[in-house]
Amino acid sequence: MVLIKFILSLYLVAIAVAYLIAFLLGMLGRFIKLFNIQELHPNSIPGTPAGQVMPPATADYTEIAVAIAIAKRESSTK
Amino acid sequence: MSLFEVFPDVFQGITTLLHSEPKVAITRIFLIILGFTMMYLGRKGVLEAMVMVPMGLGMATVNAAVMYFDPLGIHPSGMSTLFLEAQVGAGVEPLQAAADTVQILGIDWLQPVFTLTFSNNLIACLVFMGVGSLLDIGYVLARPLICMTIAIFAELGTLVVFPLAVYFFNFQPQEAAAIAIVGGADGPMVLFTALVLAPPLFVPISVVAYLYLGLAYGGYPYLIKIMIPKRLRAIKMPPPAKPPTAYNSMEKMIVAAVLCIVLSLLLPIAAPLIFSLFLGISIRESGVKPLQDLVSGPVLYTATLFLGLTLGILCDVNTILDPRVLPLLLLGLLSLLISGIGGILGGLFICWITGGKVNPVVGIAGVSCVPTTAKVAQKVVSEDNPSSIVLPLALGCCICGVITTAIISGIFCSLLKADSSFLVTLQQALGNIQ
Repeated sequence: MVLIKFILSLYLVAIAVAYLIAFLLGMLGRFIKLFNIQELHPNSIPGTPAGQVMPPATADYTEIAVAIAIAKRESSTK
Repeated sequence: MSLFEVFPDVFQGITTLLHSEPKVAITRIFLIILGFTMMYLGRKGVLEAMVMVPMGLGMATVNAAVMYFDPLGIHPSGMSTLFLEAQVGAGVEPLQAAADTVQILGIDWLQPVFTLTFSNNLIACLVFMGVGSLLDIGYVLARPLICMTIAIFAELGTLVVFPLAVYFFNFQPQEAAAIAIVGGADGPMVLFTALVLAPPLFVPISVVAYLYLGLAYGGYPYLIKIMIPKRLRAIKMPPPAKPPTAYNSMEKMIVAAVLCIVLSLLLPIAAPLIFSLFLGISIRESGVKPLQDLVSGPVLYTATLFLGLTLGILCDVNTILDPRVLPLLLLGLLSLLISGIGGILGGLFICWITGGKVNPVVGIAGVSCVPTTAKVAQKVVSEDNPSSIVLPLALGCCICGVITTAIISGIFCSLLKADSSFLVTLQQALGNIQ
């Protein structure tokens, strides 16, 4: 009986925590939409191959610096 | 000296087979055949190939490659292999244990994998990280209550087997908890719980758990067909009245981070596993492709390969003939079976309260075993109604199954770990009754 009581109370606690998580998920799902968080699509640095974070080490960095400067100037004049 | 006389020394695999007790020799041959069958069934798609192929080959080979070799003097028969020594250091003083471990690390080729990644749960965490990188938390966010309800039903095996193991098989509460958690059908979680609560049973419990998790892929379809009539299995779930909210990866990552923090706050003892799972999910949603590729590819597959391989190697004759293994085999099977039944009952319950809008077969996915049970659910449904798609909801249930197992494992580990005052009270209460 001790063990049955123990496992039943353990199960009840687990159910309570599980529903707390489910409730949290439901609330977070709604709440997060209020912030209107946009997907970040950072403009990749010119010269970066698709799917990579940085241009390769062998890239011509003078050319890249010029391209960035042009891109900045274009975005500020818009 | 003729060549014939040195044959026994050269072909020691055969010599040891002939010199063993009949029980040992027959078990070795049986395990070689079993390993071969597991590989075959894995390749055929009846069992989960990713674990079964390396595990089967490991099991078959380790039982063939026995030789007269016992550098630590821990095998009465003097027979061992060059693969690994799971019992190294058991029952000797700490300094000797350390010396033995260092010695065997330089001899057995899989010993570094076992000693440095199994006993500290690293391999379980790596597998969980990889699994996390395959999970889309958006499936849970779409229907959190339904998924969680099914997952709670699917923990029935853990609930039922725990008292059975104590009352009928005389296991200590912490050992019973480690066995019962097999019903949660989460390999890494079983490794973790067994290691925290019952280190001496860690090897047999892990072997039993992974054997059955591989079998779940082949066995659960029959359970579904027995419990759910064809009419219900063919239910085509209608699209929701209003289209489900779409979440971008930034939002999913924030949700994953919040969940990870809340669960770690509630259950610090299971935090390494919880963190690994949510790290995988966060990496998936982070947008850093090289990291995504690393975790969902090389990390996951390398960890799974070595996990399967090491578990196969652990299935040697000494482990299998351990008298504690038979009750473990029985209780592990019972635990997974009852969890499957519980999950299906959960599916039927949800089907009933939604007025038949949810296909009850998704209930099996609550058992967890990501993503096997979700694939099983879709496979069974497709046989009866090829136009019915249940995979998204099934994956949601699978993810919730991982969360509920983590919760139960965390509670078990917190209450029943060796130095817990609750364990002493429970043992005293049990002692008074017995």
